[in-house]
Amino acid sequence: MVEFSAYTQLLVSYAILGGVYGLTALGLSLIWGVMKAVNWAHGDFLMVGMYTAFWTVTLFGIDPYIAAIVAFILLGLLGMVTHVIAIEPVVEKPGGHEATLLTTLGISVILESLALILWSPSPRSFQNVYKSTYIEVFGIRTSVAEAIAFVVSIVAIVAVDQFLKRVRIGKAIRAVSQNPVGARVVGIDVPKIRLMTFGLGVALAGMAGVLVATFYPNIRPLAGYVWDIASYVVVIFAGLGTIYGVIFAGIIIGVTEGLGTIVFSNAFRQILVYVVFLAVLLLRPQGLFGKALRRV
Amino acid sequence: MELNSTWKWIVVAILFILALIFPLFADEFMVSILMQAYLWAFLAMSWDVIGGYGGQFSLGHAAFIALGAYTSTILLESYGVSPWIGMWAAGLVAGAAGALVGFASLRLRGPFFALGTIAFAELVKLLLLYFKDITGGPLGILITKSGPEYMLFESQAHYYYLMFALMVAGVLFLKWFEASRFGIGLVAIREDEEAAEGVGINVYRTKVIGAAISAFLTGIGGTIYAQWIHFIRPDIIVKLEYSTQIAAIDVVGGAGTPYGGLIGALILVPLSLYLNAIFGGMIAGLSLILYGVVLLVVVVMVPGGIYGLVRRKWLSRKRGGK
Amino acid sequence: MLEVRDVVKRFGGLVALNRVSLTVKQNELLGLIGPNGSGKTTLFNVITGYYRPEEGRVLYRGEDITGLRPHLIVKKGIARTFQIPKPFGRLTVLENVMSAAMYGRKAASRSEAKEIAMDWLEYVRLKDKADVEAKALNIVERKLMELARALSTGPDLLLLDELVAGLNPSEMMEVVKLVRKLVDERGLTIIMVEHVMKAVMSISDRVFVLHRGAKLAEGSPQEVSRDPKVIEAYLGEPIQV
Repeated sequence: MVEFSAYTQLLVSYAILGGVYGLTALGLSLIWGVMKAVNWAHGDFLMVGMYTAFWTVTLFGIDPYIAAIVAFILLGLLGMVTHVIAIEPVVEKPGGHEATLLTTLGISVILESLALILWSPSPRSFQNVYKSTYIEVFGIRTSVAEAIAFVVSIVAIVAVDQFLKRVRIGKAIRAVSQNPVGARVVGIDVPKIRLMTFGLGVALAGMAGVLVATFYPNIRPLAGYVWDIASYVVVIFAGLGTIYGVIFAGIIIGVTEGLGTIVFSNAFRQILVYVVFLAVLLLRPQGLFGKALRRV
Repeated sequence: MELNSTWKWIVVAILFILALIFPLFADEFMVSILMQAYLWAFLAMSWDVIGGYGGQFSLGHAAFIALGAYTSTILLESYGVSPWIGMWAAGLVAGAAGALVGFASLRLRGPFFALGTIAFAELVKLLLLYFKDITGGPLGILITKSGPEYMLFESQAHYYYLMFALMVAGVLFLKWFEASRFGIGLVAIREDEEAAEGVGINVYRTKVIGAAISAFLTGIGGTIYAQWIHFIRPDIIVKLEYSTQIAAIDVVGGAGTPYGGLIGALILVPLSLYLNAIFGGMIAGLSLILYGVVLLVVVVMVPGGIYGLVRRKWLSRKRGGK
Repeated sequence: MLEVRDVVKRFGGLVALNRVSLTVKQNELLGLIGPNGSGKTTLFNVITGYYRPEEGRVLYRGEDITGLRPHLIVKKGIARTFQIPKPFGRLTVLENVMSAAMYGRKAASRSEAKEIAMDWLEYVRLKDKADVEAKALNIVERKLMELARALSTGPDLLLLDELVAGLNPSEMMEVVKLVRKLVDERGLTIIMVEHVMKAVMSISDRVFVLHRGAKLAEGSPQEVSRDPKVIEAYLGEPIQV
């Protein structure tokens, strides 16, 4: 019985983590779905978000959840600048999707190098009251920071979904995602929508970075990767064009990781993560880029 | 035209001779820089087979370097097999892994393939760590032998010639490859898969073999790399940075051309090594940022890479002169 | 030579081909016509292996080739062009056509392939563009290059998908003559899908009409063009012989 509840505790923690995966994947999914371009620097924007939290909290002593708003705005601007430099000039050219892969890869390398230069490779973390306070519900213990991150993830996903469905710009974003040519015909400023989408996607990544930083003790220039891979798995697993799918996929993947920890040794669990990732990638590519071979 | 090609050969011959006598007048540091440029050029050219000619953007080639390096080093240290032989085994092991990646490329396009190769490389790294009885796990393997019969040399100049030969072999291979039946088939698939099938090209087989060839060459490069650094460890070889650099070098130089890898490496490798030397490597990331900036600038401003740009300029002048 | 038997091809709930049967005799030029969406290109894709039919068979010289992969069908001696040309953009025109000779039926050596390719490029009057990158060609040249490329695989049966669409009348008549000559002088068998009635009717030995995925009519150009069912299907589109 003790064992059982320990497992339950573990699985719930991983489910909460999975919910946060949903949030880290949200911006990626949005950009991917609308522009058919993968933002290769997504994890690095997360990382910049984490540092935003670290610096605002340690330098100015503000509340990390206010830092989340700061990061949202800051990263939104950074995203739009990135878009102007790296996406818009190539996205409509022939081979544009391959080109965005390369340009965002360039941005990724630049952001990582800058972070290394400015902030050194050593991992950082900051103390905050949310991380050290625990709540207990039905015998399951979790830190307030993680609980809040989970709740904010769900709220953010619902908010983005509603934004896309109800707000004018959101509707325009959906139109561009479904039919860019048609969208242009009905008078939507497609480049502007792309700019806003990219900005929003990166802003969400920045916010996610802050939320992750409230409980994740390992803020460093390459921290993006851990969350990056998880985000990609979630997006691919969920499929494109679904916003709610992201949260479910996130939780499923979180729980799977938890199960992996219980059943396998830790070293082997890591191997398993990549095996599962490759399997998902290979078995679920439909509805994504490489539709079917037989289409003339 | 006749004159033009004579001049071309004279220039090539002069450059070739200059490269050959370079160690005689340059200091050790310069020799070492150019040598590394050759090595990266060869790796970029190997990548080019699948990444440039095949149009499949791999970000996992560090895995093939590692497989090659580990194969020949284990053969050397545990069984006393000379890397002159072991490098072929290294190529085969890496090539077999490349064939697996080729199978994946049948289902994964563009960014999905790139992601798959990243995951593949991570998996290779974890497996190298996991099977520590064979690989030495996180401690890696130190090469303890010595002597040219084991491809181990006293001076950097020897390595310089080794890598120079490797680079020249790479260029010659790509020259031959791009005009070969197989090369044309691979490019045809890159350009239009359905039309390629429609002229009788076996898409599945060509893609798998293309990936295997690329990995085979990269594996051989891995052996040479290990012989030069004398020490291999999973975390210093299977780095995403390496995979990215290989691709960046080739794209900057001109992907899908025999000279792209060499041009890219001659520009990027010395620049980044100089930056490192000037700042003494104190500022981590400074040399890497260069790769990012140059990659970004070239892709946005000069699609087709530097070789593509030069060739276009040259062609238009030739046409204008007519 | 080619026999399509009761082929059914569905896409989800849509039946693109509904029990279509068709035969082509050696050295015949069969015109395949029908309104948009009647299943002409789908039928081509079934014959050339791009689609696997749910039911029915495709027999070539008595051999069952249903569902063989496209590159193997090429090796049997069936080649095709695409409705929207698919050049290998960054290869030269010559390399485009050479690739077909090297990978086609005979697996020609490089020098043989070059010879074959130059011959066919001359045939379609594209020889002076041999060293141009294919993406630089205009639409007419792309279509001609595709024709040369298909021919270089060394086919006995050639499937042409809207070869003359988009050409001006004089270009059209020239290309049509070239196609006819392939049958008369080179002994090829051809199925051509066309929208331009004038082109099909003037050179076809026989015409096969598809409508909503099924056969509507079949016969000589004269018979078909007088067939009230055909006229109705085209809903007033004038058909001239």
